[in-house]
Amino acid sequence: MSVAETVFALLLRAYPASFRAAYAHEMSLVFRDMRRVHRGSDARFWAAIVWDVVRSAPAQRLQRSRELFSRNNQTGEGTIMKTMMAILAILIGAIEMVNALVEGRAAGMANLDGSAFLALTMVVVAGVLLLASGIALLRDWAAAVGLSQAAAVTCLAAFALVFRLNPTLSIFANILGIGFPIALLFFLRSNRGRGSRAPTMA
Amino acid sequence: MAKPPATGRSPESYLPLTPATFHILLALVDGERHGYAIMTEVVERSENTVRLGPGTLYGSLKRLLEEELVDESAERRDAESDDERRRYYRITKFGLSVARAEARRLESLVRTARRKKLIGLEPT
Repeated sequence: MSVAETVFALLLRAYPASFRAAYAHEMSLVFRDMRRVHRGSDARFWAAIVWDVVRSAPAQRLQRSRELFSRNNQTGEGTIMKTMMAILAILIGAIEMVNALVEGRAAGMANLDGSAFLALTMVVVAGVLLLASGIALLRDWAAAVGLSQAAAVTCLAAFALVFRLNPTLSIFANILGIGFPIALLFFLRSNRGRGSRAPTMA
Repeated sequence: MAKPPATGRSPESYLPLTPATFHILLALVDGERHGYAIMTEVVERSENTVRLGPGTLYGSLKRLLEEELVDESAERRDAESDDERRRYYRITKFGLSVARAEARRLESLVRTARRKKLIGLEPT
């Protein structure tokens, strides 16, 4: 295998394992042919190859996540867990939004300094995302996985900032702001793990 | 009329096709081809304006296989140049119906553009 083919094989790692299992060999053959007939600048050739991977690999990864997610939802256990997480996401999202707005109003929006204003805004955004991800999970929208991941990460970032401003947060606030997003990420991850043990597409 | 796939969708429900998808289907209309042959056919026919990289090509082929617009024929060596066995792809009857529907859609758009004098006059 030439250096170029080794580099291309490394680039193929950007695609999901099931896609690689089905097409990596064929893609390598195509790459070899492209390399053989290529005339001109190497930099341009590699720029086109890398651009192609950048454009197509995320789409394949997203599609794979959707497949795994919908497959896990077909099992009874998956459905119960998913419904529970969705309801919690909606409730916690709503609580976070209302709480942030009430706190902001009580403190007086005009009196808030930059960090406090940023923290409140982030909590509101996290609440909206959690609410949306809960609805997406319940309705089996294709964007459910992406939305839930974004909600969990935003929630964690928002509460890290809130915790910095106010280290004496209640246990309840810690559970809502930190415990739930971590649980949500674990749920998404464990769904993915179960799916990946399923037979891959030929 | 070609038998629709298990989803029961009509050819029109697949429209509009992405340029990559339509080019791949067009390349397969003349007969079965392996990946690289599809790629070169697309580049030649489009006069180098459309270039499919390996990721875009096989990503599109995967979707076309799932949607039953294309299927695979047996692996074999390319008679002209090949050193290794390759997977060949061919368009299904349903794939042909979808490609025809897309061609008709584009034809209708071109007719409208002609009527509005955006491009050359209506052919007589």
